[in-house]
Amino acid sequence: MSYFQGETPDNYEQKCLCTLVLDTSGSMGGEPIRELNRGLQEFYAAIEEDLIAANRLEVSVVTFGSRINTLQEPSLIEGFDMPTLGVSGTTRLVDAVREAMRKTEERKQWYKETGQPYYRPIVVLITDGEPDRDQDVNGLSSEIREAVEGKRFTFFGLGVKGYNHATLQRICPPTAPPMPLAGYKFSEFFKWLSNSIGIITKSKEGETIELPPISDWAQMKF
Amino acid sequence: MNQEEKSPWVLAYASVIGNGHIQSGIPCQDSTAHHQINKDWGVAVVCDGAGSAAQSHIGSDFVARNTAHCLEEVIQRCAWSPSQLPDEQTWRKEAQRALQLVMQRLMQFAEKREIPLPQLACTVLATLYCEGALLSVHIGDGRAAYSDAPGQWKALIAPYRGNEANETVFITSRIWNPAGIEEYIESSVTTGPIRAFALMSDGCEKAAFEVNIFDPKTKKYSDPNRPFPRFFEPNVPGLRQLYKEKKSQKEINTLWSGFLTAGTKQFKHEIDDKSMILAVRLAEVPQEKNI
Repeated sequence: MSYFQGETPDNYEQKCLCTLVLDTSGSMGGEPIRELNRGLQEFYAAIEEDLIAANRLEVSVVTFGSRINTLQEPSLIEGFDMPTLGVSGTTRLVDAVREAMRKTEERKQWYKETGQPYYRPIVVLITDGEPDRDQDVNGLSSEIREAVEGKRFTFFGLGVKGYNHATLQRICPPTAPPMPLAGYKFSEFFKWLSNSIGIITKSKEGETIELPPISDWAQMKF
Repeated sequence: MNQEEKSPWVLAYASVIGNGHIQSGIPCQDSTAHHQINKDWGVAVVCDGAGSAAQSHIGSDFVARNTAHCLEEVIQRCAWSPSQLPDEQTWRKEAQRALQLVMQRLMQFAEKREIPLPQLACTVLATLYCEGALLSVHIGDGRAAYSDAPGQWKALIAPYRGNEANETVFITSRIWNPAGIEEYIESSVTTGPIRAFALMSDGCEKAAFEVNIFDPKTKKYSDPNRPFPRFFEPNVPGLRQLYKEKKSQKEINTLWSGFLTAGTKQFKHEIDDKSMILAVRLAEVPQEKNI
């Protein structure tokens, strides 16, 4: 005999937006883009398998080469298939990050207007290159720093083999320095990202989150 | 005859670890405490440790036990009874004083153990209960409900929530100044025929409350903070049945732990720790009082 039982009300999950800003410039051709695509598919599958995360995490994908493309507007995993990325062009990194920041703010406004509770959004930049000469790195750096300090979003910058560490360090906030990827271990990185999102969405004090160790995929010496 | 047997209430209480904590290898950071003070009064407490604070499981256990103890002292000192209850102001003052004492003890504990105070961060939700009243106080989130008639459940508290979904305040937060105490410590006196009540951490809220619903007409979401009777009501006869079968408190709590772990789909998949205290009067309250 079951002494305890009960029906469950229909509640929606609070949302967590993760915007991926991905470098698809020509230099990412070959093994890097193949591994990045594999990592994205595994990330998608890991979220899909997790009932809570699948109802909670919205993913947006912005790519950049010579053009900025929003391949995926913010959506739950069930609403799209992860795109397969190709490569071309130069590195309009700053324009792409700004576009991601604009979309993140837009989505937050929508959450507020529609009364949806949300976790602090996450913006993830993955790049292997040097931004084009006309790109305003210093301006972007201040904008990210101000936004992170104002708790508008959390920012992670991942450097892929051949990236310019000094430039990425200028872009990333001091509280979250650039993370250099060992080899092309995108799969391990995305596993870490999905675990980190799990922790962020469970945590109650955003400023003191302890994320999982990055030793599985990060190059510790550079 | 012990105090529990004299009580006109039967309770189930437990804290169980959430799936996220299992995956991350961190302990259950929730705690519950219950104590039957005398034949009239009991005290129930639920604390939820901050996910990001490494020692919050120790903090929540300490705060739950000490809150129960400090509120028991209030009952003994004030000599309140079901026929002589405090007004809102009197209760608020006593409840604030009690939680301030808990905070002082926590600071001493932290210093002695050389643990930084923020590492012990937790919410606190407590109720002193008797036949015709619930005296409640809380800091932070969590939910609480009571029933004054079969099928009728009402919210007992409004949880504190910040702008983001994972923001709340803790007993260790910088709230211990006149303005902070006023803003962040909520208290209430609920009187009338109380047939059951429940206190819970936020890990249980989606299973037991309507907290994020969608209105297709306005296309908006809202948190009505509405207890879900079809969750609570089946457990009222279940708990009374366990009392009739003379199950011990430990046996009842073990069954309750099993229910909170995987008794519903929501419980089974919940990533957060889950704590709930359900208290039910042994005899149904006369319904004419509700008209």
